[in-house]
Amino acid sequence: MKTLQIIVTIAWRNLWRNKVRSGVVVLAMTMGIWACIFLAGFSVGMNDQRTDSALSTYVGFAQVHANGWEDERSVELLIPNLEEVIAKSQEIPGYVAHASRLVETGMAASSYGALGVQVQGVDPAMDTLVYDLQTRLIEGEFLPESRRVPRAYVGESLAEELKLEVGSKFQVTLQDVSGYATQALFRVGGIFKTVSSQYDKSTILIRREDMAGLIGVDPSAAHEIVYKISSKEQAIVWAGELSSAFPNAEVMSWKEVSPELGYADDMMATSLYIFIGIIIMAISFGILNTMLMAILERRRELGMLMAVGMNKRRTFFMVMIETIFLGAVGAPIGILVGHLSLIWSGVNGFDLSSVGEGLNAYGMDAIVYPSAVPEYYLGIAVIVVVMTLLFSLYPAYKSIRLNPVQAIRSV
Amino acid sequence: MKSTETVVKVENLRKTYNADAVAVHAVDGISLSIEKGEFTAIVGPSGCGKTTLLNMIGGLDRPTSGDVYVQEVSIGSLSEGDLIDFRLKHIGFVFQAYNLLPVLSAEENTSFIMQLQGKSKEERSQRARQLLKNVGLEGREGDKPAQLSGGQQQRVAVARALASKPNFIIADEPTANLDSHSTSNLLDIMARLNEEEQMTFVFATHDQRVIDKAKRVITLEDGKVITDEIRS
Repeated sequence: MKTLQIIVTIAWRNLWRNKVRSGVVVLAMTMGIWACIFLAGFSVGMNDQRTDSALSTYVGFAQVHANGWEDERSVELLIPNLEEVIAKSQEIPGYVAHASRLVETGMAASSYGALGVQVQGVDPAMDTLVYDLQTRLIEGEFLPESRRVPRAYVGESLAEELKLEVGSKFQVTLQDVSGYATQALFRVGGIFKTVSSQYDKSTILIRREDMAGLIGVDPSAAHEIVYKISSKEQAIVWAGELSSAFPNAEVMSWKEVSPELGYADDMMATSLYIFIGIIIMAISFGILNTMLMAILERRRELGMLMAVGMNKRRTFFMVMIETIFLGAVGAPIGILVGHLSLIWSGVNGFDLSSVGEGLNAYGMDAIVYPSAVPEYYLGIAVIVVVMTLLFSLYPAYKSIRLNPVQAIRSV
Repeated sequence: MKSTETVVKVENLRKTYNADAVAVHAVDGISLSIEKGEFTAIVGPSGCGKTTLLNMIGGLDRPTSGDVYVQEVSIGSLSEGDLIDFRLKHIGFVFQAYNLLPVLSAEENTSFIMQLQGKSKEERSQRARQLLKNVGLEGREGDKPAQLSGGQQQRVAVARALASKPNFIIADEPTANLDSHSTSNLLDIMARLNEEEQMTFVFATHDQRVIDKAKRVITLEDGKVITDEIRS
């Protein structure tokens, strides 16, 4: 212990003998770690926004359908025992709100063209408790009361494609429960724009009672119940519990409804760690170079230490710990700077409007709000320690290969 | 008659370098003994083998043949690790270029060998301060080497060499980098330590002032002992 103390003292003081050189290395490590953390926070923020946006627009935290819906999506697959399912779902911890919907794929046509769309019959008052589509309104109003020509809420891209404006009439063709095609005229009541241009191009919302009349089902029937749950993690547990209570219904958490959202999380975490590893490895070469120079400069001191009785194990350890210090000093500073910059940019956001269209195509918002990522800090610290530990071995090995007699006499 | 204790015994020591396939005998069959309390100077022209002999006596270099016994221990038979440990416990070193650690204060430079030996903080501090006082550096304990003159640094090096309570101290050209005042001062200190504490010193030197102070002068030439003069 006494020996360890003097070795650590010498190593620490040696670190600051050449303040500029060590400072540059520490700064490089700080910048590298800041870059890693900022990159992680930016990616996590962007991905979270994409997931949150998907959850609040078209996925929900969980969905319930009749058995077979996932394969057939047939109009007659209405959820059996709807009231019972809703009552049970409200008892499971995590429940916040639900909305029942009618959903069918059909065709929307104007005098300028026709497009395949998904028509969603919603109860506006309930739907706004789960989704935030009413906040995405850019023109008109969100599903006003039914009139002689019912109103529809259409995505901006769809409106552009069919050259529709608020007040324009267009035709919706669906299939009724008897299997016959059924058509109705709708007037554009409002136009919305979400972060997903794909969703905006393929979605029409109408009032649930209008859709029920069109496809010939009871207005209280539903193809789908969407849920808001207290958290994304709880939604997975919640869905599992409801699923075991209703084995004859399809109960899916958001990860099952839209697995690509979950994959993006996992893929991002893996690729970030690889990227962080590469950055820190590149910086570690700088540390290696610095330590090899330091050993060359200090040959005489190392020779003296070995001559007077410092054994190879202690000499090796001293050089190793000095190298680790060099790498490790920058790590907490980099983590702190990274954390503070994420907090700042998390409030102010990053405007990427210049590439906004491309981001929208991937369901991402043009303004990115990075998130603080404390769960990454330990991982980054471990990578720094492991890398510097590995890169410390060679200088330490070089130091113990010195011949004390030659080293002492070196200039 | 004064009883003697052999500190170092050298038996038929040889060191041969094979430079460009030509054998060079740096030390060529030297045998000698150094007794406790000696103040010995090994002298001779450059390349005569002084430093090589000193390095082998100090366990820093291995002989080609022959052996060195320190306190009757054959240091040639020790493993590399044991030899380092042996040097730590039994031999003190003073180098030409002082070789102090610039990041440590005078006291820390003196005490760190004791720290390697596992001595307690109190013992280290007390002894280091006493040794620095003995070499005339009382009050300079906290100074770093860069704040000390060459002569003062070499006195710290002497204190460091004494710190481990060695059986003897070897000093390779200890005055080569010092001015005459510092040399005189350093030699007085070493002579006093030799007289008062019976500390054994073995020097390799060209310096006539060191030779004049020595009680024994061994002259080498071409790796052989030419004369071995003991002065009264």
